[in-house]
Amino acid sequence: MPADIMERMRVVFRAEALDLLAEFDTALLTLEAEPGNAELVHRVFRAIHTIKGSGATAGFAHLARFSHRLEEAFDLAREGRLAVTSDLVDCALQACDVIRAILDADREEAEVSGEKTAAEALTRLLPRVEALPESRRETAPLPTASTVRTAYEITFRPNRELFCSGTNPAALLDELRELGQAHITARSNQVPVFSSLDPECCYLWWEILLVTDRGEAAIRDVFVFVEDESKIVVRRLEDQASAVSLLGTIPAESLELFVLECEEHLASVETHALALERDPHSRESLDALFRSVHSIKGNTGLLLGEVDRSTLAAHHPLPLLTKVAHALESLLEPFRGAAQMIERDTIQTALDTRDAMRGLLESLARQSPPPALPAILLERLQLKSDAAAAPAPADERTAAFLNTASQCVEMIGSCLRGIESGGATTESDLQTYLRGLKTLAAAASYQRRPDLEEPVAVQLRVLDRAMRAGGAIGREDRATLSGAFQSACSAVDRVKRENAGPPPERAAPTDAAAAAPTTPASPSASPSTIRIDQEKLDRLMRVVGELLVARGAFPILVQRLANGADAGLVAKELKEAGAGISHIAEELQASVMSIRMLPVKTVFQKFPRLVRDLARSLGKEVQFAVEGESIELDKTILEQIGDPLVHLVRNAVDHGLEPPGERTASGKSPAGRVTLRAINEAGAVVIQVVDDGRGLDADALKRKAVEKGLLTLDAAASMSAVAAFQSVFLPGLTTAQKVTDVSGRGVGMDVVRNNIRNLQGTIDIQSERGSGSTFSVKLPTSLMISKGILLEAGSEEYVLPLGGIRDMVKIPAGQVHQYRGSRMVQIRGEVYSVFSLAELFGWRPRESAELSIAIVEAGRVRYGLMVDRFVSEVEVIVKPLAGGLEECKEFQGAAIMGDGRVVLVLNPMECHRLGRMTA
Amino acid sequence: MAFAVHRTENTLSLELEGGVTIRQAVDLAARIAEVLDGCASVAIDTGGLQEVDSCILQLLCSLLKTAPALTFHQPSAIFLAAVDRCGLRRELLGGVREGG
Repeated sequence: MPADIMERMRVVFRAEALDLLAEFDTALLTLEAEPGNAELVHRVFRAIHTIKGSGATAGFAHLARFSHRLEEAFDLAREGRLAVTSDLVDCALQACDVIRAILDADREEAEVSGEKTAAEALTRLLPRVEALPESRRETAPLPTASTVRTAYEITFRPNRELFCSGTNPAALLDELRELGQAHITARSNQVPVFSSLDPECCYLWWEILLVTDRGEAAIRDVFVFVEDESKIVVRRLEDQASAVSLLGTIPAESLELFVLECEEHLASVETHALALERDPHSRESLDALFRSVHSIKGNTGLLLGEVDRSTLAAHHPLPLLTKVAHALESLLEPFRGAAQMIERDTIQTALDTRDAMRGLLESLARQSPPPALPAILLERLQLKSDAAAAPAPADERTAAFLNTASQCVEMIGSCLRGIESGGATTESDLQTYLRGLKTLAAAASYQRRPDLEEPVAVQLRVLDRAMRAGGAIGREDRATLSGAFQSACSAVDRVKRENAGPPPERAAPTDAAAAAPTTPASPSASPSTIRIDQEKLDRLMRVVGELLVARGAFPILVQRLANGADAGLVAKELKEAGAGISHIAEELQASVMSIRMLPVKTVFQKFPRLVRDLARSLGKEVQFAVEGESIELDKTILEQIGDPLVHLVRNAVDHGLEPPGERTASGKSPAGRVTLRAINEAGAVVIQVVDDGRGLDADALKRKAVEKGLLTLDAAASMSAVAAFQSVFLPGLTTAQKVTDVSGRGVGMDVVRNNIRNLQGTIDIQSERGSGSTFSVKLPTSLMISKGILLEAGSEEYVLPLGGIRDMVKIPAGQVHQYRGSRMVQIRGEVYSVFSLAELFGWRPRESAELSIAIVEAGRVRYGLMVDRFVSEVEVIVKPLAGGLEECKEFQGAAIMGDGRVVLVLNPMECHRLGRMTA
Repeated sequence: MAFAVHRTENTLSLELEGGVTIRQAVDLAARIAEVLDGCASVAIDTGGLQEVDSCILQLLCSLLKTAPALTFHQPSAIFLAAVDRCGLRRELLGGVREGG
């Protein structure tokens, strides 16, 4: 495989594996609490099975080797042969970490930290399987496998990209063969003629009859790598006893050969019967006809000899085939020895019998209930009706088919009437028609009715052509549609007739629907790649399409100008075209932004494991809850918020929560509660880490700050409790009594605050002694594009982000008062300290009788920022500062304006700090 | 050379040799398309085939649908095993005489 393709596969696999590992972690933690949850065990197995298999395909041989033991453990667990214990969960979690390390390693083959320990731990677990006492095995009762053989019908319809994805369908079929006796038939009806063939697309699909003692789960595991992109239906065959007996006894090749040979003999029956019709005296034709019927009887008898007949149902197609062939042979026999000319009726009976045998053969090959043989034919063959009549197969499957097909026919009929009337056909009508046809096509395929599939395919072709031609349906096409629709109606009626007895009033869900693979929860995106909702991508494509159309207006306008058109008129049209482009650009921006937005779940999902491990190492009981996982944040922010949150959650568990004994003594539940919550709040997202622990001790914080020389005694005395909480962000300050391996060294919280500030966010603390603490991190939803106010200060222009502005006022200069060297102003009843932006940066502010002041909010601080002039509201892309300028914390970054100028974007929090320093 | 395509009057001869898989699918399809038009029959020789995958077998299915007559000459055991492995005997060989 070319190196670039291989590398792409590796990148995709790495991202997918990280997602799967996150799910794996979550499932394991739940499993620890619910060891008897068979579905979870199965989910865990599938995750590791996928990682192993996809890893091997993507060239991660080391990873695949390591994962094998883990897979083996959960394979045993799901079969009830290995108990789900906390040891197993521990081992699996360790193994997850090792797999992550292998994925991160520079060299895939290199041994990673903890690998040996994890592998040994798993090995220790596995040999104990056989020795497990019965009582322990009961902790995970997972009866997915059994010794009872079951016959299944599997339909595997891969998507067109199967070959290109590197999947070899033959390998999947081999895996099915390993499960038991598999009778595999490929279908090529979707393969186009050569001129329309895309040689790398997969058009083939497969029908498999499988007798296995491994259960449906094992079958689905075979398709685990392709199930998302393929249609896989696993159905338990109705006549289990017959199917298991026949399919489980006769080798697949023998059965296939039998069917193929019988088909050839049936073709011969038809040929020679028709020849006899032309020349009733032809001895050769009669002999050949007889020989073919005799061969069918003989072959059927041979096959029957290999099966325990008592296991076959009374109306199984195989004995029926023998009886019918024997009856026809008996009917033909008298004509062979005598000069008696064969009668026309007998030839017709031979032809009708041939059709009946074909139906029986088909039902044998597909293990479906045999069709009812017409009574008149039975009479002519002198067969008793009860000997050959099939049971009325008005089963749920057929009932479901008829129900769906009838609804589709009604829907299509209604659309067709509109088309036949010659009135205007809307795209919506055609879409409805198309939907009806597609459902009917699926139903026909499901019920295996080629007589219905064909007319539906004809209509689909006509409709497809019409839609590509803008919805126009000509007279000829209308006639084709009507004809094909009538044929489809007749086919549905035929099914109704063949299945005497009314269908249930309400169709039960079809087996196909019931057996359809459940759509897995949408996997989360990994930080290194983005998975995009199809809908979002479609929207983007639509907008790009509009942009291309709108762009076309400009060359035309330029041409008109060059041709001397009225400049005023062209200018007006240019303005309109520009407005159109502007509108599209806004939509484009919104589309791209929405693509960058990912749910916070991508970060939150690692915390349950983190908290579990922490709680264990600290000997604490913790109930951890996550809320608001679906709230979205920009990918860049998500990538950088993980570490600060880890610090906050660690602190909550380590320092926030008391040990169980202390909690009980203070009347609390021994298990502490930590909640990680995301909330949408006025264009921002607030992430809270809440604990119900001991709360912050404001006095202790003050004492520590004074001890460390970070605060004067006076300042500490006048400081409010809320202000004292902020001192946890001072470097080197901690109130922890002891340093643990988790936290308590006084490093971290200052880094947390800096990281959050770098993301243009703020952090706020609320705490009550004895009740707990809440750390609230407020983040913008996106860093890329900001709305702001362009303003002037000291002959320079700056952008102040709109998110931080609470108010903007113009007041007479006399309303600003000086107090102890600080400027103060009262606006709408609130008093604010005011800083002059020009003075902060060393400029001289413009003299004016009227002052422009923005009330800015940064975290818990609100202050007034005096500027020379508010210019306008702008929307800018903020680019980070570089080349040493990143040290200028008072700026978030720089923005390029429409005319090419570079304008600095203010950081409200740092401006406040600078103001206090210079005041 | 994994494949050779010749045209003699109205017959297209396709020889598959060594390993023929999805890697050759596009080239093989292009080469066949160049000479297929107007052919009354296609003769396929798989005698020298060592490896063939489902992608190529599917291509042969398409050829079978397109060509008025298609014959397999000297189908190698490897070819037949691949056909059976993919469950394609009925579709690919069911209606075709194995010649030679």
